[in-house]
Amino acid sequence: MRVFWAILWKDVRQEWRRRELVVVMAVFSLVVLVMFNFALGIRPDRPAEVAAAVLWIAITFAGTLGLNRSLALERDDQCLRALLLSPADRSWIYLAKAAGNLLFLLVVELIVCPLTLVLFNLDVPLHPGWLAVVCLLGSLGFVSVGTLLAGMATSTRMRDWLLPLLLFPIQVPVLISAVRATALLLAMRPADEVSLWLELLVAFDLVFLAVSILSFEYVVEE
Amino acid sequence: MRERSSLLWAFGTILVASGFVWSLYLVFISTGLDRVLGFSQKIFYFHVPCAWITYLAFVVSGFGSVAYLLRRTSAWDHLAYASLEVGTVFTTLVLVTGPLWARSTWGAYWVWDARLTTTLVLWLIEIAYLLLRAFLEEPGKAARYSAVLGLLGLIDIPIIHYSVVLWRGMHPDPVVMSRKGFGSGLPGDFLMALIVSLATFTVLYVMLVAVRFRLETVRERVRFLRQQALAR
Amino acid sequence: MVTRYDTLRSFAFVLALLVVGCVAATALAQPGDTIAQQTSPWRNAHFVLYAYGAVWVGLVLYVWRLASLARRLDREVRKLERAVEKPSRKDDEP
Repeated sequence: MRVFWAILWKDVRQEWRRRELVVVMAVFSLVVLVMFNFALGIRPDRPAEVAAAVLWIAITFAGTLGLNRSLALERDDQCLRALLLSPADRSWIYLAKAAGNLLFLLVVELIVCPLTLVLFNLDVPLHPGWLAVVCLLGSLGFVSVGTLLAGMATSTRMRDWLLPLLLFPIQVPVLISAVRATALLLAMRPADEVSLWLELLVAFDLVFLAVSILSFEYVVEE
Repeated sequence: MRERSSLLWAFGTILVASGFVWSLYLVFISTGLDRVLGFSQKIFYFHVPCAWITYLAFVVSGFGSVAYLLRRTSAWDHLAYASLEVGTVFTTLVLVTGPLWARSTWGAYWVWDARLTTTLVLWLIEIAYLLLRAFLEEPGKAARYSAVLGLLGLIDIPIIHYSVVLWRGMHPDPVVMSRKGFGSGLPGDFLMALIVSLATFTVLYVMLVAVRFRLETVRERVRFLRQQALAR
Repeated sequence: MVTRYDTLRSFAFVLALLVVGCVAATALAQPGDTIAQQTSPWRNAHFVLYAYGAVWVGLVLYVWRLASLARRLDREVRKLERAVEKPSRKDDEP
């Protein structure tokens, strides 16, 4: 358990000093948002649905960047090797990496969500708390599988390129649920319509967090 | 031993060949035309078996992956890889015959039908698996990583299917496996043709997996011999 | 000696024979009116041909791919077995 906090604190401190990940991820998300606006035109029909879709695409792409970078840094510094030599339980290492990735992604979303509302001329949703919950659950699902698969992808010849190919098909339920839930919330629909999608997100998160914790050991053994 | 396996191959080939001839007869000559769809309904007899083999292959591969992670015998890994590669071929066939069926029935090639969409995502996962294996040099790592991916995929497929069905907001009416029981949506001779076709494809699948499995074993031997040659 | 890829070749040959049989069977089915009356039951017959053809082509291509992989691996095994045997014969010399 101490290992978890040690690794998490190390990652957060490193990021606070260098500010690489969050800045790049945020700027990249913004670029994606703007590109989509150019592609879609000034006033798209059904702005809530379009905004939700574009938001989650931006989060997905930025998240992939973040995952790749975070694990690449680990490999470069040989930190991972040192960590694995220690008697610490592998699961805590995985959880620490995943928690770090989640934290950075959530910070980026904190910046990008309001920008999406502005760019698409949408009002603040009736239930901003629910929007935060959707963002949290969606990001958790993304990061849990993503950390595991990033660990695999960085040790192949293809490195960064392979992660999207591995991650995106597996992520389909998260993308569908998160986009649908966000679209409903941005369109000012009542909260109970969203519950179905939230349940699906929770189910995915629980299942895949568990599977990833169990499988991480197989990915990092030498 | 050699004679017995050759005999098995010969038996299997004859079984597949006669199965195909029989199903050809049943599909094109013996069964009548569907009242609504006419001749184009006949695609059903090889599209549906391909779809079932796709799922069978993926499940077998998934179980092989789990068995490999638990037991670490290379035979399980060979089975997982072989079944997945053969399964990818069948998935590709489903994705080719499906739109042709859709075009002749509904007038459009791709209608984001729940089942075909899930099959498309499954195909992407299979391609990812094959790419992962292609780009990993160490055989131990390749086996482990792809086993993890196989396990992830196996657990994910029901969730993907459920989310896609919800997304489409509709439940496609099952014709073969409806709530009234197996095959209750079909007239007798249609069901017969489907079953023969399915049996033939299943035997074909088993034979292809067996061949691919043997090739993986040979590849392992090649790696072993290469190490020995380098050691000299 | 019946090698692995001989079996695969004969397998592929049998499949090819069946392709011919399938084409003949589809020809027997008499695709008729596909242009004028939209209510003809034969109106979309060509899709069935494409679909069935695609299945055959796909399977034959895959069997062909397996056969060439088998050939390549057999060649490598023989080459490596020779390479592994040679130095040990040298060791036997006085």
